[in-house]
Amino acid sequence: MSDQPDNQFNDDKKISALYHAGSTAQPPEHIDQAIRAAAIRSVRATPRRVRFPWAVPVSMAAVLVLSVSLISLIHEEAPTVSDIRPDVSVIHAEERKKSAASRETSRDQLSIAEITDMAQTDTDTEQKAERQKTTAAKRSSQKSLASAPGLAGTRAEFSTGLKKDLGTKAVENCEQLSHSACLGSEQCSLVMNEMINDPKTFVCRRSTNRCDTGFIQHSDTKESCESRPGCAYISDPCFCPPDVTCICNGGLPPQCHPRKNGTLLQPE
Amino acid sequence: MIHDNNDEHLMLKFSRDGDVSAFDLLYERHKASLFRYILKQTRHQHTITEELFQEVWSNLIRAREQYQPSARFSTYLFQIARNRMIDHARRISARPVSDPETNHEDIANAGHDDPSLHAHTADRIEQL
Repeated sequence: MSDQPDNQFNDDKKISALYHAGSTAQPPEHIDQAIRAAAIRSVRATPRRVRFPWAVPVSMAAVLVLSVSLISLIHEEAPTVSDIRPDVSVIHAEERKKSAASRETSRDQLSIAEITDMAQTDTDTEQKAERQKTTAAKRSSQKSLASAPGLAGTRAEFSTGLKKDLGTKAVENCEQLSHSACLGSEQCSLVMNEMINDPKTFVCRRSTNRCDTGFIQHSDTKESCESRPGCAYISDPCFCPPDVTCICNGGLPPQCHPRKNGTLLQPE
Repeated sequence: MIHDNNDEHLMLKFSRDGDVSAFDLLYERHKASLFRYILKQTRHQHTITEELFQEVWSNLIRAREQYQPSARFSTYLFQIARNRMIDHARRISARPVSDPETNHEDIANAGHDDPSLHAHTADRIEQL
Protein backbone atom coordinates (compact mmCIF):
# COMPACT_ATOMS: atom_id res chain seq x y z
CA MET A 1 0.00 0.00 0.00
CA SER A 2 2.82 2.32 0.78
CA ASP A 3 4.28 2.04 -2.73
CA GLN A 4 1.03 3.31 -4.30
CA PRO A 5 1.40 6.67 -5.95
CA ASP A 6 -0.03 9.69 -4.16
CA ASN A 7 -2.18 10.77 -7.09
CA GLN A 8 -4.01 7.38 -7.08
CA PHE A 9 -4.75 7.80 -3.37
CA ASN A 10 -6.09 11.24 -4.04
CA ASP A 11 -8.26 9.94 -6.89
CA ASP A 12 -9.70 7.22 -4.64
CA LYS A 13 -10.64 9.79 -2.07
CA LYS A 14 -12.16 11.95 -4.76
CA ILE A 15 -14.19 9.05 -6.21
CA SER A 16 -15.32 7.99 -2.78
CA ALA A 17 -16.49 11.49 -2.05
CA LEU A 18 -18.30 11.63 -5.36
CA TYR A 19 -19.90 8.26 -4.74
CA HIS A 20 -20.95 9.35 -1.30
CA ALA A 21 -22.43 12.51 -2.68
CA GLY A 22 -24.34 10.48 -5.30
CA SER A 23 -25.74 8.10 -2.71
CA THR A 24 -27.13 10.97 -0.69
CA ALA A 25 -28.47 12.90 -3.66
CA GLN A 26 -31.69 14.72 -2.85
CA PRO A 27 -34.04 16.71 -5.02
CA PRO A 28 -33.54 20.45 -4.68
CA GLU A 29 -35.64 22.36 -2.20
CA HIS A 30 -37.50 24.32 -4.84
CA ILE A 31 -38.69 21.05 -6.46
CA ASP A 32 -39.87 19.79 -3.08
CA GLN A 33 -41.87 22.95 -2.60
CA ALA A 34 -43.26 22.84 -6.12
CA ILE A 35 -44.44 19.23 -5.72
CA ARG A 36 -46.02 19.89 -2.34
CA ALA A 37 -47.76 22.96 -3.71
CA ALA A 38 -49.06 20.90 -6.63
CA ALA A 39 -50.47 18.35 -4.19
CA ILE A 40 -52.23 21.06 -2.18
CA ARG A 41 -53.59 22.68 -5.35
CA SER A 42 -54.89 19.35 -6.57
CA VAL A 43 -56.67 18.62 -3.31
CA ARG A 44 -58.20 22.09 -3.18
CA ALA A 45 -59.33 21.87 -6.80
CA THR A 46 -61.19 18.62 -6.15
CA PRO A 47 -64.43 19.09 -4.22
CA ARG A 48 -64.17 17.14 -1.04
CA ARG A 49 -66.73 14.42 -0.69
CA VAL A 50 -68.46 14.59 2.63
CA ARG A 51 -68.35 11.17 4.16
CA PHE A 52 -70.80 9.89 6.69
CA PRO A 53 -69.46 6.57 7.92
CA TRP A 54 -72.53 6.16 10.10
CA ALA A 55 -74.99 6.71 7.23
CA VAL A 56 -75.22 3.08 6.07
CA PRO A 57 -75.84 1.46 9.48
CA VAL A 58 -78.26 4.20 10.49
CA SER A 59 -80.29 3.86 7.28
CA MET A 60 -80.37 0.07 7.63
CA ALA A 61 -81.57 0.35 11.20
CA ALA A 62 -84.22 2.87 10.17
CA VAL A 63 -85.50 0.58 7.43
CA LEU A 64 -85.62 -2.33 9.88
CA VAL A 65 -87.52 -0.34 12.51
CA LEU A 66 -89.99 0.96 9.94
CA SER A 67 -90.61 -2.51 8.53
CA VAL A 68 -91.16 -4.05 11.95
CA SER A 69 -93.50 -1.29 13.07
CA LEU A 70 -95.44 -1.44 9.81
CA ILE A 71 -95.87 -5.20 10.04
CA SER A 72 -96.99 -5.01 13.66
CA LEU A 73 -99.42 -2.22 12.78
CA ILE A 74 -100.88 -4.29 9.96
CA HIS A 75 -101.26 -7.26 12.30
CA GLU A 76 -102.99 -5.12 14.90
CA GLU A 77 -105.41 -3.58 12.42
CA ALA A 78 -106.23 -6.77 10.53
CA PRO A 79 -109.63 -8.06 11.64
CA THR A 80 -109.73 -11.50 13.20
CA VAL A 81 -112.18 -14.19 12.17
CA SER A 82 -114.28 -13.48 15.24
CA ASP A 83 -114.45 -9.83 14.21
CA ILE A 84 -115.63 -10.73 10.73
CA ARG A 85 -118.20 -13.27 11.86
CA PRO A 86 -121.17 -11.59 13.41
CA ASP A 87 -122.38 -12.74 16.77
CA VAL A 88 -125.05 -15.35 16.07
CA SER A 89 -126.82 -14.74 19.34
CA VAL A 90 -127.17 -11.05 18.51
CA ILE A 91 -128.58 -11.91 15.10
CA HIS A 92 -130.98 -14.37 16.57
CA ALA A 93 -132.17 -11.86 19.13
CA GLU A 94 -132.72 -9.24 16.44
CA GLU A 95 -134.49 -11.70 14.23
CA ARG A 96 -136.67 -12.82 17.10
CA LYS A 97 -137.74 -9.25 17.68
CA LYS A 98 -138.35 -8.63 13.99
CA SER A 99 -140.26 -11.81 13.47
CA ALA A 100 -142.40 -11.23 16.55
CA ALA A 101 -143.25 -7.74 15.38
CA SER A 102 -143.97 -8.81 11.85
CA ARG A 103 -146.07 -11.75 13.04
CA GLU A 104 -148.34 -9.45 14.95
CA THR A 105 -148.60 -6.64 12.44
CA SER A 106 -149.00 -8.55 9.24
CA ARG A 107 -150.97 -11.60 10.10
CA ASP A 108 -153.95 -10.52 7.99
CA GLN A 109 -151.84 -9.31 5.14
CA LEU A 110 -149.96 -12.56 5.17
CA SER A 111 -153.04 -14.50 4.63
CA ILE A 112 -153.97 -12.24 1.71
CA ALA A 113 -150.54 -12.74 0.29
CA GLU A 114 -150.87 -16.44 0.64
CA ILE A 115 -154.15 -16.35 -1.16
CA THR A 116 -152.63 -14.28 -3.94
CA ASP A 117 -149.80 -16.73 -4.27
CA MET A 118 -152.13 -19.59 -4.31
CA ALA A 119 -154.09 -17.88 -7.02
CA GLN A 120 -150.98 -17.54 -9.08
CA THR A 121 -150.22 -21.17 -8.79
CA ASP A 122 -152.42 -24.05 -9.65
CA THR A 123 -155.58 -24.03 -7.61
CA ASP A 124 -156.67 -27.59 -7.96
CA THR A 125 -155.99 -30.57 -5.81
CA GLU A 126 -152.79 -31.39 -7.66
CA GLN A 127 -151.23 -28.38 -6.06
CA LYS A 128 -152.18 -29.61 -2.64
CA ALA A 129 -150.63 -32.96 -3.34
CA GLU A 130 -147.59 -31.24 -4.62
CA ARG A 131 -147.30 -29.21 -1.46
CA GLN A 132 -147.61 -32.28 0.62
CA LYS A 133 -144.79 -33.85 -1.34
CA THR A 134 -142.70 -30.74 -0.92
CA THR A 135 -143.22 -30.68 2.80
CA ALA A 136 -142.27 -34.30 3.06
CA ALA A 137 -139.14 -33.77 1.03
CA LYS A 138 -138.29 -30.69 3.13
CA ARG A 139 -138.57 -32.66 6.31
CA SER A 140 -136.38 -35.42 4.98
CA SER A 141 -133.75 -32.96 3.84
CA GLN A 142 -133.74 -31.21 7.21
CA LYS A 143 -133.19 -34.53 8.86
CA SER A 144 -130.31 -35.39 6.59
CA LEU A 145 -128.68 -31.99 7.08
CA ALA A 146 -129.01 -32.19 10.81
CA SER A 147 -127.40 -35.60 10.87
CA ALA A 148 -124.58 -34.64 8.48
CA PRO A 149 -121.20 -33.85 10.10
CA GLY A 150 -119.10 -30.69 9.63
CA LEU A 151 -120.50 -27.94 7.50
CA ALA A 152 -123.78 -29.70 6.93
CA GLY A 153 -124.24 -29.88 10.65
CA THR A 154 -123.52 -26.20 10.95
CA ARG A 155 -126.02 -25.38 8.25
CA ALA A 156 -128.59 -27.62 9.86
CA GLU A 157 -128.08 -25.94 13.22
CA PHE A 158 -128.39 -22.60 11.56
CA SER A 159 -131.54 -23.61 9.80
CA THR A 160 -133.06 -25.07 12.94
CA GLY A 161 -132.25 -21.90 14.82
CA LEU A 162 -133.91 -19.84 12.17
CA LYS A 163 -136.96 -22.01 12.09
CA LYS A 164 -137.21 -21.72 15.83
CA ASP A 165 -136.94 -17.98 15.66
CA LEU A 166 -139.09 -17.27 12.67
CA GLY A 167 -141.40 -20.21 12.72
CA THR A 168 -142.65 -21.63 9.48
CA LYS A 169 -144.98 -18.78 8.88
CA ALA A 170 -144.33 -16.53 5.99
CA VAL A 171 -143.10 -13.04 6.44
CA GLU A 172 -144.43 -10.42 4.11
CA ASN A 173 -141.90 -7.68 4.43
CA CYS A 174 -138.98 -9.49 2.84
CA GLU A 175 -136.86 -6.36 2.36
CA GLN A 176 -136.60 -5.93 6.10
CA LEU A 177 -135.34 -9.44 6.74
CA SER A 178 -131.73 -10.16 7.32
CA HIS A 179 -130.05 -12.40 4.79
CA SER A 180 -130.05 -15.35 7.16
CA ALA A 181 -133.70 -14.86 7.95
CA CYS A 182 -134.47 -14.51 4.25
CA LEU A 183 -132.75 -17.79 3.51
CA GLY A 184 -134.87 -19.52 6.10
CA SER A 185 -138.12 -17.97 4.93
CA GLU A 186 -140.64 -19.79 2.76
CA GLN A 187 -142.09 -16.61 1.33
CA CYS A 188 -138.91 -14.69 0.63
CA SER A 189 -135.97 -15.42 -1.62
CA LEU A 190 -132.45 -14.15 -1.34
CA VAL A 191 -131.36 -13.24 -4.85
CA MET A 192 -128.54 -11.37 -6.50
CA ASN A 193 -128.98 -7.63 -6.55
CA GLU A 194 -129.61 -7.10 -10.23
CA MET A 195 -129.25 -3.35 -9.90
CA ILE A 196 -125.65 -3.80 -8.92
CA ASN A 197 -125.16 -7.12 -10.70
CA ASP A 198 -122.67 -8.21 -8.10
CA PRO A 199 -122.72 -11.92 -7.25
CA LYS A 200 -121.78 -11.08 -3.68
CA THR A 201 -124.51 -8.53 -3.10
CA PHE A 202 -127.93 -9.97 -2.37
CA VAL A 203 -131.39 -8.62 -1.78
CA CYS A 204 -134.26 -10.32 -0.08
CA ARG A 205 -137.40 -10.17 -2.18
CA ARG A 206 -140.76 -11.76 -1.95
CA SER A 207 -141.13 -15.12 -3.67
CA THR A 208 -143.08 -14.53 -6.84
CA ASN A 209 -143.82 -17.87 -8.38
CA ARG A 210 -144.90 -21.32 -7.54
CA CYS A 211 -141.34 -22.61 -7.57
CA ASP A 212 -139.67 -20.30 -5.13
CA THR A 213 -142.72 -19.87 -2.94
CA GLY A 214 -142.37 -22.35 -0.14
CA PHE A 215 -138.83 -23.16 -1.12
CA ILE A 216 -136.52 -22.63 1.84
CA GLN A 217 -133.21 -21.75 0.32
CA HIS A 218 -131.23 -22.72 3.34
CA SER A 219 -132.47 -26.21 3.82
CA ASP A 220 -134.48 -27.36 0.83
CA THR A 221 -132.81 -29.71 -1.58
CA LYS A 222 -132.84 -30.29 -5.30
CA GLU A 223 -135.36 -33.08 -4.85
CA SER A 224 -137.76 -30.90 -2.93
CA CYS A 225 -137.56 -28.26 -5.68
CA GLU A 226 -137.75 -30.51 -8.67
CA SER A 227 -140.52 -32.59 -7.15
CA ARG A 228 -142.68 -29.69 -8.23
CA PRO A 229 -143.55 -29.91 -11.89
CA GLY A 230 -141.89 -27.26 -14.03
CA CYS A 231 -139.30 -26.24 -11.43
CA ALA A 232 -135.56 -26.49 -11.67
CA TYR A 233 -133.06 -26.34 -8.84
CA ILE A 234 -130.09 -23.99 -9.23
CA SER A 235 -127.28 -23.93 -6.74
CA ASP A 236 -123.78 -22.57 -6.55
CA PRO A 237 -121.21 -24.72 -4.76
CA CYS A 238 -119.45 -21.59 -3.52
CA PHE A 239 -122.45 -20.10 -1.82
CA CYS A 240 -121.82 -19.69 1.87
CA PRO A 241 -124.69 -18.85 4.19
CA PRO A 242 -124.16 -16.05 6.71
CA ASP A 243 -122.53 -17.01 10.01
CA VAL A 244 -120.98 -20.10 8.45
CA THR A 245 -117.29 -20.39 7.73
CA CYS A 246 -116.77 -21.77 4.24
CA ILE A 247 -113.74 -22.44 2.11
CA CYS A 248 -115.11 -20.50 -0.84
CA ASN A 249 -117.56 -17.70 -0.72
CA GLY A 250 -119.28 -15.68 -3.39
CA GLY A 251 -121.85 -17.78 -5.17
CA LEU A 252 -125.61 -17.37 -5.34
CA PRO A 253 -127.83 -19.08 -2.79
CA PRO A 254 -129.82 -22.12 -3.96
CA GLN A 255 -132.91 -21.19 -5.93
CA CYS A 256 -135.92 -22.95 -7.33
CA HIS A 257 -136.79 -21.51 -10.74
CA PRO A 258 -139.73 -22.20 -13.00
CA ARG A 259 -138.85 -24.04 -16.18
CA LYS A 260 -140.73 -24.20 -19.42
CA ASN A 261 -139.81 -26.68 -22.16
CA GLY A 262 -136.43 -27.25 -20.59
CA THR A 263 -135.61 -23.51 -20.45
CA LEU A 264 -135.29 -21.69 -17.18
CA LEU A 265 -137.59 -18.76 -16.80
CA GLN A 266 -136.34 -15.66 -15.10
CA PRO A 267 -138.18 -14.82 -11.90
CA GLU A 268 -140.78 -12.13 -12.29
CA MET B 1 -51.43 8.00 14.17
CA ILE B 2 -50.31 8.90 10.70
CA HIS B 3 -46.72 7.69 11.36
CA ASP B 4 -47.93 4.19 11.97
CA ASN B 5 -49.57 4.03 8.58
CA ASN B 6 -48.01 2.18 5.73
CA ASP B 7 -47.45 3.73 2.32
CA GLU B 8 -50.57 2.28 0.75
CA HIS B 9 -52.77 3.58 3.53
CA LEU B 10 -51.18 7.00 3.29
CA MET B 11 -51.74 7.09 -0.45
CA LEU B 12 -55.37 6.10 0.08
CA LYS B 13 -55.79 8.86 2.61
CA PHE B 14 -54.36 11.31 0.13
CA SER B 15 -56.33 9.99 -2.84
CA ARG B 16 -59.70 9.55 -1.15
CA ASP B 17 -59.71 12.05 1.68
CA GLY B 18 -57.38 14.65 0.20
CA ASP B 19 -55.06 14.36 3.18
CA VAL B 20 -52.05 16.49 2.20
CA SER B 21 -50.11 15.55 5.33
CA ALA B 22 -50.26 11.92 4.20
CA PHE B 23 -48.80 12.97 0.87
CA ASP B 24 -46.04 14.94 2.61
CA LEU B 25 -45.09 11.86 4.57
CA LEU B 26 -45.05 9.72 1.46
CA TYR B 27 -42.98 12.28 -0.35
CA GLU B 28 -40.47 12.44 2.50
CA ARG B 29 -40.17 8.68 2.52
CA HIS B 30 -39.65 8.15 -1.19
CA LYS B 31 -38.21 11.32 -2.66
CA ALA B 32 -34.56 10.44 -2.12
CA SER B 33 -34.73 6.89 -3.42
CA LEU B 34 -36.76 7.98 -6.43
CA PHE B 35 -34.46 10.85 -7.18
CA ARG B 36 -31.39 8.60 -7.03
CA TYR B 37 -33.07 6.00 -9.22
CA ILE B 38 -33.86 8.54 -11.90
CA LEU B 39 -30.42 10.07 -11.52
CA LYS B 40 -28.85 6.70 -12.12
CA GLN B 41 -31.06 5.93 -15.10
CA THR B 42 -30.34 9.27 -16.72
CA ARG B 43 -26.63 8.77 -16.15
CA HIS B 44 -26.52 11.60 -13.64
CA GLN B 45 -28.01 14.26 -15.83
CA HIS B 46 -29.36 16.47 -13.10
CA THR B 47 -31.54 18.69 -15.23
CA ILE B 48 -33.32 15.76 -16.81
CA THR B 49 -33.51 13.99 -13.47
CA GLU B 50 -35.20 16.94 -11.83
CA GLU B 51 -37.56 17.30 -14.73
CA LEU B 52 -38.51 13.63 -14.67
CA PHE B 53 -38.70 13.58 -10.89
CA GLN B 54 -41.20 16.41 -10.97
CA GLU B 55 -43.19 14.75 -13.74
CA VAL B 56 -43.43 11.50 -11.79
CA TRP B 57 -44.86 13.20 -8.72
CA SER B 58 -47.19 15.33 -10.84
CA ASN B 59 -48.48 12.20 -12.49
CA LEU B 60 -49.03 10.62 -9.12
CA ILE B 61 -50.92 13.67 -7.86
CA ARG B 62 -53.01 13.94 -11.03
CA ALA B 63 -54.01 10.29 -11.06
CA ARG B 64 -54.45 9.99 -7.31
CA GLU B 65 -58.16 9.18 -7.53
CA GLN B 66 -57.48 6.16 -9.73
CA TYR B 67 -55.04 4.71 -7.23
CA GLN B 68 -55.82 1.14 -6.18
CA PRO B 69 -53.69 -0.50 -3.49
CA SER B 70 -53.21 -3.68 -5.50
CA ALA B 71 -49.42 -3.50 -5.18
CA ARG B 72 -46.94 -1.80 -2.94
CA PHE B 73 -46.85 1.94 -3.21
CA SER B 74 -43.13 1.95 -4.03
CA THR B 75 -43.78 -0.41 -6.95
CA TYR B 76 -46.51 1.91 -8.19
CA LEU B 77 -44.29 4.97 -7.85
CA PHE B 78 -41.31 3.40 -9.56
CA GLN B 79 -43.52 2.09 -12.33
CA ILE B 80 -44.64 5.64 -13.02
CA ALA B 81 -41.01 6.72 -12.99
CA ARG B 82 -40.07 3.97 -15.39
CA ASN B 83 -42.89 4.92 -17.77
CA ARG B 84 -41.85 8.55 -17.63
CA MET B 85 -38.26 7.60 -18.49
CA ILE B 86 -39.39 5.47 -21.41
CA ASP B 87 -41.45 8.40 -22.66
CA HIS B 88 -38.43 10.62 -22.23
CA ALA B 89 -36.21 8.18 -24.16
CA ARG B 90 -38.75 8.12 -26.96
CA ARG B 91 -38.83 11.89 -27.06
CA ILE B 92 -35.06 11.99 -27.24
CA SER B 93 -34.90 9.40 -30.00
CA ALA B 94 -37.62 11.18 -31.97
CA ARG B 95 -35.91 14.54 -31.62
CA PRO B 96 -34.44 15.78 -34.93
CA VAL B 97 -30.67 15.55 -35.04
CA SER B 98 -30.40 18.90 -36.82
CA ASP B 99 -31.07 20.77 -33.60
CA PRO B 100 -27.59 21.76 -32.65
CA GLU B 101 -28.59 24.23 -29.97
CA THR B 102 -30.55 21.73 -27.92
CA ASN B 103 -28.01 18.99 -28.31
CA HIS B 104 -25.17 21.19 -27.26
CA GLU B 105 -27.17 22.46 -24.34
CA ASP B 106 -27.96 18.96 -23.16
CA ILE B 107 -24.40 17.89 -23.48
CA ALA B 108 -23.16 20.97 -21.70
CA ASN B 109 -25.66 20.57 -18.91
CA ALA B 110 -24.87 16.92 -18.53
CA GLY B 111 -21.20 17.67 -18.32
CA HIS B 112 -21.52 20.43 -15.76
CA ASP B 113 -24.13 18.90 -13.57
CA ASP B 114 -22.87 15.42 -13.23
CA PRO B 115 -19.84 14.99 -10.97
CA SER B 116 -20.16 11.23 -11.02
CA LEU B 117 -19.88 11.34 -14.78
CA HIS B 118 -16.54 13.05 -14.33
CA ALA B 119 -15.50 10.32 -11.94
CA HIS B 120 -16.65 7.69 -14.36
CA THR B 121 -14.68 9.27 -17.15
CA ALA B 122 -11.61 9.57 -14.95
CA ASP B 123 -11.93 5.98 -14.01
CA ARG B 124 -12.11 4.91 -17.63
CA ILE B 125 -9.08 6.98 -18.49
CA GLU B 126 -7.19 5.47 -15.62
CA GLN B 127 -8.04 1.98 -16.82
CA LEU B 128 -6.75 2.81 -20.26
